[in-house]
Amino acid sequence: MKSGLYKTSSGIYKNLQRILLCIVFSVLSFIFSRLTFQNTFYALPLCTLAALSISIFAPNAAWGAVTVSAAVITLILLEQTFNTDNSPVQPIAFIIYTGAVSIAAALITNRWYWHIRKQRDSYQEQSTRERSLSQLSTALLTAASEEELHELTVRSIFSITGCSAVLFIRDKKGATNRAASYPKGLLLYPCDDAVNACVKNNCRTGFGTVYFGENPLVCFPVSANGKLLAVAGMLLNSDEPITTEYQMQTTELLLVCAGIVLDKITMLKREQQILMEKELEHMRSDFLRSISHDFRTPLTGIIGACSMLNGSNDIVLDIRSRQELVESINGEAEWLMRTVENLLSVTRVGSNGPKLNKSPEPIEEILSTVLDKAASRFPQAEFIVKQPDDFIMIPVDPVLIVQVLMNLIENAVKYSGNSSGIELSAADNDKYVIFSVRDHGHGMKQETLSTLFEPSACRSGDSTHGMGLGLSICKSIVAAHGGMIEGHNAESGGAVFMIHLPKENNNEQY
Amino acid sequence: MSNIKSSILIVEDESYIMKVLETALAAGGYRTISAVTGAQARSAISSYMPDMVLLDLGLPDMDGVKLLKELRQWSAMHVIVVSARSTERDKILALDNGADDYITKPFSAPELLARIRAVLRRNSSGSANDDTYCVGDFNIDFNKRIVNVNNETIRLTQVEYRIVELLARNPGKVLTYDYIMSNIWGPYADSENNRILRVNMSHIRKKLEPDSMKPRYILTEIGVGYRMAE
Repeated sequence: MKSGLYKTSSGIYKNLQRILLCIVFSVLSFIFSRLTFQNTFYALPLCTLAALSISIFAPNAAWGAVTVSAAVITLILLEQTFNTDNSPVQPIAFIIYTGAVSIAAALITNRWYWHIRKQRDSYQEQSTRERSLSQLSTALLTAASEEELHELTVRSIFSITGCSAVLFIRDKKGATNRAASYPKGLLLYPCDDAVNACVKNNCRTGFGTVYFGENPLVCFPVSANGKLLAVAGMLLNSDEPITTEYQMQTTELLLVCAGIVLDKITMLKREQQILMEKELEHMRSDFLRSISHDFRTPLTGIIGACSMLNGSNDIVLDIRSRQELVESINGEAEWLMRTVENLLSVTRVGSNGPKLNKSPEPIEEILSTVLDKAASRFPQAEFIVKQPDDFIMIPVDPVLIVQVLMNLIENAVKYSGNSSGIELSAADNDKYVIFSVRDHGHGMKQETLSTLFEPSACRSGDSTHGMGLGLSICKSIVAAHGGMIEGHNAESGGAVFMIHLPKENNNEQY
Repeated sequence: MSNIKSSILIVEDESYIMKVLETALAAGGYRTISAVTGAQARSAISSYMPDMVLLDLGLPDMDGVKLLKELRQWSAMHVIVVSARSTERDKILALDNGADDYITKPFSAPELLARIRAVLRRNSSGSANDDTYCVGDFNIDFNKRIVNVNNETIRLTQVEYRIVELLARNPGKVLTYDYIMSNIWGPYADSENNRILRVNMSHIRKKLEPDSMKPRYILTEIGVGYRMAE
């Protein structure tokens, strides 16, 4: 843009125009002074003033001098040609003297003019650069994720230089991997050498530098706190390979900003990771506390019963009470076994990614299996089953889903205070199959409703030991299926638990 | 049954469970041989030739399924697989590789003894060659290809009948989905997608069972396969 401006104003045509203008002014001022003052003398200051003002815009001092000279020479010629009357003749020497002074003045003013103009241009340029830089760096600062930042960086390089750009990120092992490019999927000639040199020397490499100067890619180091984080590459256009130093500098400034933001995001991420780990650790210890509490209760019962049976003390037991003790040991041990099984399920769907053995299963087979298990575990309870008329299959880990439903039924039998008419149903709802377990007991306490699915150590203090643990396990299993579980009290009394499971094999739903 | 006690080889690496199993089986009237590792089991099988092997899948030195495969190459000896929760997949693999039945830990002694009796009985009666099979009110005549429930003839489609027949010829034995698929629809059937089998089974149950929610004749082993009641 800058060079273009000079080019148009230094055109011969423009200069000739200016000279012509000066001649016209000379003629006009000559005519004016002749008509008004009947004296050519007054034309001189007018003419030189006009010539000086015009010569300011001449591209350089020489053209300015030529312009002024043209005006003065015209005036001399006019004076010589038309001075026929008896007005006092102006000595040509005086005109020449005035002309020389004017030319000197033109030389100086022209110089000054261009000097000021140059400065103004460079200020303007700088402010545009700063404005665009600040815009881009503001955009960079608002980048929420690393990916977004990578994209923004390459796009900004493109908007500054008009060159395709690519960003390589340095991973923990020190290797550089391509993270983003603009345009996407940009094909690159082999440039590993230039990139590696950039990493090694922490300076600009590639085209036009001492390192791999023949490579069309210019590599800029992106660093923060003296640590190299990434390498930005700029692929020079083959048809217009010259990028101005100004663009290079702007790019470098931008990359400083990008480096800082990148560093900030990495740090934020690390902080979040630590926070998450803390949270997880907290949850784990809560979980462990609740488990150990839940385990202690039945174990105390078992140990107590065993010590009675051992007969180490003086209590004499009849056969009936012996049998009762054995039964209680068996019952508690079975409860422990089920809880351990539940825990195993959780470790299966746990933090290292869910390992579900999913297969499409008919709803009726899931329900009949649950019913069969429930009937054998709670022979005194009474169950009502409802299912859709259509044949529906859903992708689930059947063993785990049966376990979830069994946990819900176990809660309904044990804690509702009414084990008759427990409803087990499945309903088809467009994208989901909704399983529900409903009892007709006294419902759940209002204050426990909000924390139903959290393993809380404090709640398991009452007689309902294990309920919270069971439900939190249910939740993690259902969540691993991409489903949702909820529990509430029915208006007509009793508790209702609902499981929404997606019909399609998609973990992202809900 | 014969007067001679049936012998059972227990392959189990947990000494406590081994002790419980030995006691339970001895009480059930069986002679027991024990092996702690796969290698021991291999030599015990060839030197004692037991009537049945109770095979734990999680062995310290080798995969239980591998041992089963080896055994099946030369012997039709009964094998009941004992699996823990973590080896669910192996359970199906074991059934497909010729195990007669499976039992999941934890199990009660009466349940185990009942499974053992069923497997041993299956052999002695040789039901696979019988002309009919009966359980409760269910009756199937393999020659006439007729299925009766409560003395009423059930109308089954060709495929439905073949599924019921396959299950009835292996009463008490869990047949995996893959096994049934390849037996009914041929070895090239897409066993990954067993929807066709599940739909057919749903129809069969509606026709056979008085209450399809509480099946009495064809039982579901969820995630594994189906089993004909004995």
